[in-house]
Parts: sequence; C-alpha cells; structure tokens
Amino acid sequence: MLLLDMLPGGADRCNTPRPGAMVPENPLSPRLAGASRSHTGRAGDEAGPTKSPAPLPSAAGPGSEEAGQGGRNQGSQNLRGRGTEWEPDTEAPLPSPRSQSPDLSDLATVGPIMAFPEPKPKKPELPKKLVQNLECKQGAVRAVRFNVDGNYCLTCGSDKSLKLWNPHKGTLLKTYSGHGYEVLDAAGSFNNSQLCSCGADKTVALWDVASGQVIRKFRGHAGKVNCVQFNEEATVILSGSIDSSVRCWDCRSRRPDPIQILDEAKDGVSSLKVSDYEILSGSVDGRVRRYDLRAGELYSDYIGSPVTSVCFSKDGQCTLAASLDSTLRLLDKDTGELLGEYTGHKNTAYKLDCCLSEKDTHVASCSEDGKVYFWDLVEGSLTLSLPVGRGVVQSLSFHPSEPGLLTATEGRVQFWREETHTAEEQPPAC
Amino acid sequence: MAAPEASDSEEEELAGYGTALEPLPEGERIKKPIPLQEQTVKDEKGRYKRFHGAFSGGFSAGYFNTVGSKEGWAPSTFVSSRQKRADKTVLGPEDFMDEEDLSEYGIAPKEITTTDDFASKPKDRIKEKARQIAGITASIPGATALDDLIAPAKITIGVELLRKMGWKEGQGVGPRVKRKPRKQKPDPEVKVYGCALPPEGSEDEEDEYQPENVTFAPKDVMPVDLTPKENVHGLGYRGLDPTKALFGVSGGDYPNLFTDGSEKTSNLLGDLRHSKGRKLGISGQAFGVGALEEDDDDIYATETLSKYDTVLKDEEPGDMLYGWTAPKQYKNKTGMEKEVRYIGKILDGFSLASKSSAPKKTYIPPDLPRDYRPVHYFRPVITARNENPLLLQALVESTGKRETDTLQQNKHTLNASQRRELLGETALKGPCPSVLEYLSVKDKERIKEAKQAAEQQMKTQTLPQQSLNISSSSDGVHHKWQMALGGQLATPGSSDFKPFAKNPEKQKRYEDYIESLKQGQKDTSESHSDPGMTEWERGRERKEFFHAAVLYKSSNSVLSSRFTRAKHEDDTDKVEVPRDQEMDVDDKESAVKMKMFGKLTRDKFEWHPEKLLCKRFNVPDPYSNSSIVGLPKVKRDKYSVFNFLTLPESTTTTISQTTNEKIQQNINPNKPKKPSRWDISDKEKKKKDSISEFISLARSKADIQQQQPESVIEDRSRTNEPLPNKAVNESTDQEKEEERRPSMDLFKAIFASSSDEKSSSSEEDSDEEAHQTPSSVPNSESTKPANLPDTSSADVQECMAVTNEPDLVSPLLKEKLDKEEEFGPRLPPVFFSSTTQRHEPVPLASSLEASQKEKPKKNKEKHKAKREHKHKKEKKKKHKKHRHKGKHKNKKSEKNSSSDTADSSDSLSDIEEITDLSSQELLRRLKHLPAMKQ
Repeated sequence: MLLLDMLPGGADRCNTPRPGAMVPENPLSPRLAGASRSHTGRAGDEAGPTKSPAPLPSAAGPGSEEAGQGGRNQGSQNLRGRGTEWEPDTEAPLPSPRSQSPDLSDLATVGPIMAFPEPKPKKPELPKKLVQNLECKQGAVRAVRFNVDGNYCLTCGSDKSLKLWNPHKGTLLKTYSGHGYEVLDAAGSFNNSQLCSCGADKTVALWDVASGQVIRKFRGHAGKVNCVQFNEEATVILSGSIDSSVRCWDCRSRRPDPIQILDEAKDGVSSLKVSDYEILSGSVDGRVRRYDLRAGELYSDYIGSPVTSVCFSKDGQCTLAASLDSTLRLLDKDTGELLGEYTGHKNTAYKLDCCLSEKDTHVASCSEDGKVYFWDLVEGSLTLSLPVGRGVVQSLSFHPSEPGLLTATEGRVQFWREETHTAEEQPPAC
Repeated sequence: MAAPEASDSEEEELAGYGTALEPLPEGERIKKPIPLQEQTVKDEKGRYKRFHGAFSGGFSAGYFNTVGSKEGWAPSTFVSSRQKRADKTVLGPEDFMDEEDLSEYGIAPKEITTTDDFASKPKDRIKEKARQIAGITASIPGATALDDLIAPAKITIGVELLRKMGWKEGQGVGPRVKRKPRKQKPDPEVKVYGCALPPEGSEDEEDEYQPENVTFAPKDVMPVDLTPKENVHGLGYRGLDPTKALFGVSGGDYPNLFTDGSEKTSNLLGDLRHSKGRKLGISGQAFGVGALEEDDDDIYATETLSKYDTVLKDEEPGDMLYGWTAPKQYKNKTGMEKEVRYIGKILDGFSLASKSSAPKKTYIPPDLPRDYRPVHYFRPVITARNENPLLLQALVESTGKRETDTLQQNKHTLNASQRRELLGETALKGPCPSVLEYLSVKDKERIKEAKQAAEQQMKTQTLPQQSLNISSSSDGVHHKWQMALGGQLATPGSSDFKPFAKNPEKQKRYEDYIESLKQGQKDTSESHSDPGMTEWERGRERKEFFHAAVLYKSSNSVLSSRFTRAKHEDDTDKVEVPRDQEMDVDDKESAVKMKMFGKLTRDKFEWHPEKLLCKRFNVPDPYSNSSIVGLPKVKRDKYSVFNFLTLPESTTTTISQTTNEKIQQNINPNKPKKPSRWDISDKEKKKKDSISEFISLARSKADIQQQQPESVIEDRSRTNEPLPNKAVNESTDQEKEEERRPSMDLFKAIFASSSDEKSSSSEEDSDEEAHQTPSSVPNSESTKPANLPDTSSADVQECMAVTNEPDLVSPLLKEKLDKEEEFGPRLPPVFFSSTTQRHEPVPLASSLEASQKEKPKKNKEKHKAKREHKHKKEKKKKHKKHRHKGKHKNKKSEKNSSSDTADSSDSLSDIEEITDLSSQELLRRLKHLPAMKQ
C-alpha cells in the first residue's frame, strides 16, 4: 500500500488534459461533419487495403431478406461506429473511463465541440521509443501489467514468481513468490495495496503489496487460471480458468468458495476484464460474454475463433476481442455489431494480449512474429508495427493515461514511450 | 473532671463477658509465641514426629533415613540401671520389637483375639481329645478331676454322643473286634535310659488277661485316604500321623519313652505334661515351620520311637508285620491291595466289588480285500440322449435301472420349464417369447427372403441386381427392421412392461406399434403416430419403439412377470438445463463470415448475479426478489436412451465401411486451410458439399439396405463426378418426400457432442428450421431420413466429425493434437533459440514435424505433430489426398451453387477420421484407389 501509494500528483496526472488530448479530433471532425451514409462508404474504402474488399455488398447481392437486414445492420453499425469513433477523441472533460456515456444521444452535446474544433490538435503519438529494458530473470514473462496509475508494473514469470517494477526507472521493487507453478496473470488493486495473481497451479492469490505475503489463496478452479482481475473496489477477484469457468472470489469475507461461478463458457476462459458493473470474458469457445450485473443480463457474442484476449475501450462503449484467426474485432458493446476489424499480425496459436491505447485512438496487439502492431481504431489501418523481439510478444500493457507501452517477450519486458518523450517528464516515482 | 469520675463509677457496674486475661506477672517477660519451625509434635514414646510425607509408618518416617530416631543408629551411651534394676529384669522380645509389630496386623499382636481354645479348629479338637484322654487315663482320678476343674471342660457334642454310645477315648469307632488290638508292648529288656520305669500295673494286667469272649474296640485308625497328591512332597511321603504319634495311642499302648510315670503322676496338669512330652519327641522330618503355617503341630508330626519295632520277633498273625518295621499303616498290604486299585474315596454305603467286571469285548475290523484301493472313482455319465444307442442299451441292461439314471442325469440339463412340468407346476403367465409367432405366414416368408438377400448381399456385393423384388425403399427399410427384430420382439402381451409409462400417449402408441407389428403391418407407426408430430419426431419415435421392443424381448418379459413396477420413480429423465441455450453456431458462423455481427451473433440471456456479487460491485440487484443464480434453469426431458442404442445388424459393417470410404474420398480435398476471410465462399461451398455428401451417404446407405448396391458402385465409379447425388437422386422416391429431413437425432448426436451443449433437447422447432434453411439447397430433396443413425457407431462418429465448426477447430485442434492436456490457446514457449529468425509456432514439434514443414505447401493445412504413432497415418493420408486433389477441385467448381450456409469442419472430420482409421483400413483404401480413378 505504502510502497505503491500514489503520489499526490499521481491522480492529477491521469486527468490532466494533455496537449495531445485533442489530437484525434483532427481526422475525425470532417468525417463527423459529413452525413453518416456517405461516411459509411468512406469507411469501407479506407479499410480497403487491409480488409477484404467490400464483403457486405456481395453478401447482400442475392437480395434475400437477410441481405436487407444486413444492410440495416450496416447502417446502424456505421452510426454506431461513428459515435464511438469520435467519442474517445473528445478529450473535453474526459469521462472517467468507466462512466457509461450514452452513445448517440451524445451527439447533441458533442455537436458544438465539433463545430468549434480545438485549434491545432497534435497527432496522437504512439510509443515507439524504447526507454527501458527490464531483464526480469524469471523465466518467460507470461504477462506484464501496469498498475492502476501506470507508475508501476507487474511481471508474471514462468518461474512461479511475480515481480513488481518501476518501469520508468527500470528498478525491481519486490518479488512475490508463493505460487506453485508459473504465474499467468496479475492485477493490482485500485489503491495499490493489494495484488492478485493467478497461475497454472490453479490458485488465485491475493498479495499484500508491502509485505509481499500472500493474504489469501483461492482454490477451486479445476485447471490453470488464465486471467485474473480485481473489481473496481478490489472487493472481488474474478478469475477465468481453462476449466471454462469464471469465479468471483470475495476478498472481504473469509469464505473459501467463490461468490458465484460463471460457467456459461463452453471452453476455457482466456481473458477477462471487469468494469464497474460488467464482467467481460473471452473464451476459447469463440465467444465473448459480457455479464451485466446492473441489467442482470448476459450477452454472448459469437466471434467464431477462440478468443485470446478481450478488453473494454476506455469509454466503455466497445469491446475489443482478439482471436486465433489473427484478427482483432472491435464490437459495439450494446449491440454486438462489428465496428472494426484489425488484421495483419499473426496470432494463430498462442494466447496473446491486445489493448487499446490510452485514448482509444489505436488498437494494439501482440503478434507471434515478434512485433507489436498498432492500428488506427477508426480506419482499421495498420499504423505501426513495432519490432520488439524475435520471439512471440506475449503480453503487453498500455499505460492508462500516457502513450507508454509495456511489452513482454521471452524473458524480457520493454517499456516504450512516444518519440517526444523525455526523461524529464518522468514523475519522480518511488 | 467529672467525666472520669463518672466513668469510674460506671465501670464497676459493668457486667463482664468472657474471661479476662490473667494479669501479667510482674517482671516476667511476655512469652513469645513459639515460632512455627520450633513447634514440634511428639509421639507416644516421646519421639519427635514430623508431619512428613505421606507415610505414617516406616522406620524412616520423620527422620530421613534413620531408624526413626533423631540419633539414628548412634549407640546409646551407657546408662546406669542400678536404680531400676529391680523393675527391669528380663528383656522380652517385645522390647526389641517395634510397635507396629505389636499392632493388630503385626507379628505379635497384643490385642485380644480368640484363643485356640475357643476357636473351632481341628487342632483344638486334637488337643481337647488329648486332654480328655489324659484326664481319663490318669492313674489318679483326683488328678483328672483336678484337671477337669482346671482345664476348660469342653467336650464336643460328637465326643459326647460317642461316649454315650459306649465309645471311649482311645478307641476306634466301629464294631468291636475279637482280637486284642494292641499287642505291642515295650520290651522289658529294652534299655531305658534314665531311671527305670516302674512297672505299670494296669497295662500289664491288661496284657496278660485275655478273656475269650471279650471283644475289643477297633483300633483307632485313620482310614487310608487316597487323596490326590496336592503337595510337593516326594511320592509316598507321609508325615507321621499325629494322633498316633502323640496321643491317640497314649495310655500305655505306645509307651512314651521319654515320660516316666512319676512324672506323669506328679504332674497334675496332664495336658501340659503331654505337650511337654511331645516337645521331647523326635521332631518329624521337617525342615522347620513355614512362615505361612500356623502351627507345626499339624503339619509335621512328631515321630516317636514307639512306632518302630526295636526287636525282631515272631510275627504276630494279626499284626501282619512280618518283621517289617515300617510304619503301621502300611502293614496290611494285602487288604489294601484292592483299595488301592480304586482311586478315590469310597462313599458311605458302598464297597468295592469283590469281583472284577468282565473285560471289555473288542471287535476286530473286517479284513480288507487285497485289491482294495482307498480312492473313489466315478463312472462316466452316459446321458440318455447319447447318440450311441448300443452303449446305452448295454448300460441299461447292465444296470437295469435306466429310468432313474437318465432322470438323474437329466436333472441338470433340464431347463426351467421342463422342471416345471416335471414338478407339475402351473406355467407362469409370462407372454409368448417370440413375436415371430404373431407374424403371418406371408411375412415370415418375406423375412426369410430378406434374410437370404442380406446374406447374399454380404457375400457378393459385386452383383448389383440381386433380383430382389422389394419395391419401395421405405418398405424395404422398415421391413429390414422387422427382419432385424427377428424372432425376438417383445409382444404387447407383456403388459407389465411399459417403457413409456410416463407418457401415456406414447405408451399407447408403443402398444399400438407392437400390436401392429404383431399383425404383420409394415408401416406400423405411421398409422398410429400423433398427427401433430413432425416427421423427424415420428421417425425418432419409431426407432425408439423398435429399440424398446427389441430390448424387452422374451427374456425380459419373463423377468417382468416376476417383478412389479416400482410405485415411486425418481425423476431421472429430467435434467436441469439452462432455459436459454446459446443458439446453434452454424448460422452464427455464417454471420461471422459475412461480418454481420450484431443480432445474428449475439445471444442475450437473463442472468442472475449473486446478491453478494451485486453488493460487492455496488450495483443494485436486478432481480432482487428471485433466488435464481446464474442462468435460469428448467427441467427438460432427457433424451431417451433408445436414441443411442444400436442394433447389431449384419450389414452395418460393410455399409459403414463403404460410407467411410466415401466420406474419406469426398472430404479429403477439403483439407483445413488456414481460415481467412478470403476463402469464405470456398468454405461455404465445402459446407454445402459436406452436407450434401452426408445426405447422399445416408441415402446410399439406405440404398444398400434396399439391396440396391448398384448405387454404391455407381458412386465409386463416379468419384470424379461432382457427387454421388446423381445416383442418389435417381433412386429418389416419392415416399422419401415425407422424410426430407435427416433424422433429428442424427443432428442431436452431432451437435450435442460437437458444441458441447449442455443439453440438446431444447432445440426448438424454430431452431430446427433455422438449421434447415441452409441445408435445404438443391440436394435437399435427396435427404434421406431416419434410418441413418442406427447403423453403427462408426457412422455416428462420422457424423459428429462432419459438423464441427471449422474456425473454432482448426487452430484449436492443432493445439490439442500437439499436446493433449493443453486447452485453448497456449502460452508461448519459454525461450526461443536465438538463431531462428522465423517464428517457430510449435516449439514442441519434433523433428518429424519440422521435416513436414519443409515440404512444399501444396496442401495448405498445417498439421501439427501429433503423437508420433499417429503421424504415420497422417502421412499416408496426405499421400492419398494429393491424388484426389484434382478431382475434388472439379467438384468444388461445380458445387458452388449457393453461399449462404455455414460450413462444416472438414478439417476436424478429416483428422479425426485419420485417427480412427486402422492401418489395415488405410491399406485397403489405397488398394482401391486406382479402381476409383477409372
């Protein structure tokens, strides 16, 4: 707790509007100004180089009833897409990432902003400069995760250890050992006082950050635990395992069994994300399931290929799902419509991570060819392929508020910043 | 000072309570209280006592390890005893004893106890007797009187009675004897030490005077008591008889050597004298007195010399000593001989028999014949139905009792009914065993024909036109069922057996079905089935009935007549399933292909979060008044078992082989490619193909069953052609129209296993419809129904394999093949070799796999290395695939008619098939290849 406690400026930094905040506005504004229908076509054209050429018209060709429906879907999808496209870009009071912002109704409020765009927005920068190289010395790094404010990171090693780093300085802060097998995922609590981790030893561990002791171990999964997440208040740990269940462990009480078991998945759960009222799980059975606690509903979106990683967009409107067909898909959270598809990387065998950039401007994904690929979220075009290493880039984590990226390949973790990044900007962490 | 005065006056008037303390004497110091350590307690002898430990006794109590005194063993100093000399004369043993010894349980208790005189002990009687004797036999009567006066006159009642009966002390008890008992007398020549004894007149007189008719009292002898030996003395050892040795022979009979008459007379206290005399006697052969023995008087008697003869003289006839000087009791040896033989006491009123009883007679065992062998051997059993009548006859003649023999021999070969008849019991009211009996003669003939046909078809598949005049296909199929039923169908008469008792309508239909079967109708279930049922349901039910009928055939009905139905049945055929199932993936698959995400790919369920979870998430419980957690569940009927039962059919193996083959051929080209969106249409084509192929397979199978193997041949010969559908279509009948769809349970089996749905029973009709639409493409009319799944398990597997989702499978499957315990996407390997620039996706792959990779990527599928042994097969398979590639490309091009179906996973079926194939099968297929090419 103390160790990681946020510095006074830490929280501010997150919310401080940065000069580059308005950057994405530039390319978007004209589009938004245009009619939605015309925009549709353009979006398709722009996606052309990377996508299959206009699959929709061909599908609608026979003029069947389904085609008509498809057309309708297309329309709404585009509307939807537009909404989500510009939303993250409007930095104006950047909504707390988990607040649910209404989609289309926001257009009205946004309109004026559109009308008067900010002067001279900067282009969003992508992290391409290697600033730190952490030799973790813990075997293969199975996962690397920023903490909640991005000042620290956790690396999960295949040598059963979990390490806490300051990636900005490249210093190892603490090593947490207590897992019986390799650690597969970890997460930090909102107040940095606790960590949770999971591993191939079928357990989920709750750690005290300062003491390095295991506070609790949750046993109950029947197989490797692939992913673990705190809920917003760190009162519940959610873990997804290859036993095709998501288990909700209570951190408050001492009950050893989970609060609830979400066993709807038909195959292993590979990825898991939690918002303030949602649980998003990606499963190898090719579905992305979103449990909405508030509405009491379960939305199951069929992706078709084993899902390796899912994540929410920062605005909470979209879900990004990476699957083993080397494709990332951006889905509308509410309707399940496809907003974007990102291909070009290689992901056919391994469980690789994907993420969105700090302002939802870009989509990033690991790849099996040793690179990290960045796509423009809206256009779907490949903007950057960052060569990271020779091996598979297994895990990555994007800084919650700045263009900083952590990549894990083999036994190494690298920290990337934008080109303009200078060391002076570094807050005096630790 | 008024007040003090007043007080003085008051003081005198006060009344005092209690006793006032003594006024302190002048000049005397106030006694200090004795400190605790100086307070002592002394015992009665003035010794210090300490409250010491738990022991009240013991020498060292009070003084540790001392003799109980402060000074311990320290020698006492000389103390002049001049003053007390008169007092203390003799020190008794008590002076040296501890007080504990004098206490009640000590060595010498000083308390008053019952003395021997008053205690009723045998030794006391002896003393008493001795006293009496002494008093009587005393020479001076006054002495005895005096003695009597002094001695406690105590005569037991027994003695008194004896006296009244004329007994006198010293005499034995019993009838009087003639002879004088006491002959022994001390010889006058015996040298007597000490003063010579004065001749005792009375005794001498007695000796001399022997009147004729005087009887004497018997000798006072103890009867020989042959008691079992209980002591540890040596054998034959006896202590001297105390009575004889001491007092029993007193009165001159045994002259006491050491007591003289003067002494006797002078001593007034005869008993005392006697006891003293006893003391003088030779002590017995004792070794002292044991600590536990009360008195040595009893145990070790004193032996006197008087018991021994001191002089050799003529034996006296009555004495029977014969010169022996042994103790008296051994004298009468002959008399005792008999008594000795009998061990034990002789009861009163009994005597030993004079005559010994006759010796026991023993019987000699009979002589064994010489050739006797002590082993039994069994004769060979000759059954009545032995085919050798001659032997039987001989046996009968020899034994003459064949009847019983055969009966006995038959006992074990009889069956229950025969035994029942023998016993004269009434028959069980079980049903007739065979349904064949209910069939009409015509049907029987037809069955026979069909059987023959099947056999022939098995033998020669090459002869297509087997001249079988079974006209309609469905008829034939159904008839085949009946044929398969053979003679084993259950009958409706077994009314106890109700397989569908829970569904009365269904049960009724079942009974109708059986009934109609009995009556020889062919299309039984159609007539009875529920009009509301769909075709596939009807087909399924028919199959169920069929299986049920087969299952519960005669033997079961026999059983069922013995058992009764349980009244309470547990709800086993209900299973909890989620109310809402995720829809079938097929349409979703297609939607994904078309990138039509949204409604098509989304399933929305009601989901109940746990209340605590809501609380933890700070979210109000959406279903605050429901107790459901998770997805709402409903109870649904489980599938009937009969769906999955298969019948052993003779033709199935061959059929399945051929179908396997065909599937093999048809599917091979559709090897799994890396799924990408470019090949969507291709895949759809394939899907189309696979489905139609499947259907055609089903059809062709049916055709085979209809004894029309020419279609198979045709198919084989036309593998270059797009599909066997042509052949199938040729033989399509109108009757098949009703069975357009494939059998439902086929799909169930497929989808239940492939997508791992928790329950497939909840597929609604709409779902079914949705599934139906894509498949209702050109070939749909050729879809052949219900008789598919009952063929063999191999087929079922086939089916399962065919309809897996390809996208899901291809990488995943590879994974699973690589390493079976891995599920889902794997983790990257720990470290890569630094040299490989190219990413090696399967680090676990062996060198074999690497070599495979080197091969040209003609086939785009990437087979990961399976286990080694499977690898070989795979290679073979691939081999074959190449050959067929060309054909199938053709087929593909022809077959791209529609593009809206979900595709099935050819890859999975392909690979699974490989694993399922035996090497022989592969070989066989390879052989067939050239022929097919033609």
